[in-house]
Amino acid sequence: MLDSTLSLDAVMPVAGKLSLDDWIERHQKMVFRTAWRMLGSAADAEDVTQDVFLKAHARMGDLSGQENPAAWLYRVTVNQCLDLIRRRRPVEEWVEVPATEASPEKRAERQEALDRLARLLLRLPPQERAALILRDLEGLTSREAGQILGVSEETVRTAIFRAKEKLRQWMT
Amino acid sequence: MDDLDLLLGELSREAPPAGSLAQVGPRVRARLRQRAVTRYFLAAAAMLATLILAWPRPEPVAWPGVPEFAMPAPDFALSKSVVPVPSRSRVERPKAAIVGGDKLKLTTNDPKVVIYWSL
Repeated sequence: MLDSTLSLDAVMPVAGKLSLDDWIERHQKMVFRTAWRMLGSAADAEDVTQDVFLKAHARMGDLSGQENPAAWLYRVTVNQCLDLIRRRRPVEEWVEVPATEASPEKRAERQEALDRLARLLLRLPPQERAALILRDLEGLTSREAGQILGVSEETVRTAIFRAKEKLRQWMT
Repeated sequence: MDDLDLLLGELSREAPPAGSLAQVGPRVRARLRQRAVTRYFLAAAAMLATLILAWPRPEPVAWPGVPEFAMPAPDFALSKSVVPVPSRSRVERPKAAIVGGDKLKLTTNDPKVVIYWSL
């Protein structure tokens, strides 16, 4: 179901000989997508993506020696997003998620459900949200998500279980 | 796999908003250029400051000692300033002269008047 190329091993096999442009070209989608789902705003996601690549540029030398620089990029992205979320007001105050949203006539029902799910993601606690996005949207394993978030594999699974329970509850 | 998992799978494949990614590269490069310029300016300023501080300062010049010599005082007496004394009108006083042993002759301003005084 998920795109297999999103696996960390496939994302960045070689890092040492890449220029900044190559890095951006290769990984901006991954970084942007993660930030976009974490923050729910394309503009914020653009800012985070920019900051992540600026940090990556500053640590280009260190990263080239790393076995899995994609994990580093994910980690920085998630941390940037968590910082941004912490600095803001609680999500519940500014994200409106009506139970029965009146959709535009032209919009398909499925798209409407997707949009609603994307907004509901923002209601999740940031750690649960990050775990769910990394594993179920980015296609990483629980272990990889745990490495990025600095928690155990079991903690990731628990967080995702809780997140899904909440989402199911909110969607009904 | 329930409907939520299917929706999550679809969400993961959803394309980002058009144009969002197009600006990332140029924005990153612009920020890097800006940082580089700032860094060059700071480095140049730091170098200049270091250069100024490290520049050898000239040692204070030891001036040759001025020989002491006593200058002799000028050998001349300063003339006192001449203050004009207001002139006084002189009054001719009678002049006295002893004549003939026991007589005193007094002459006056008037040549016709001569006084003889017997002692």
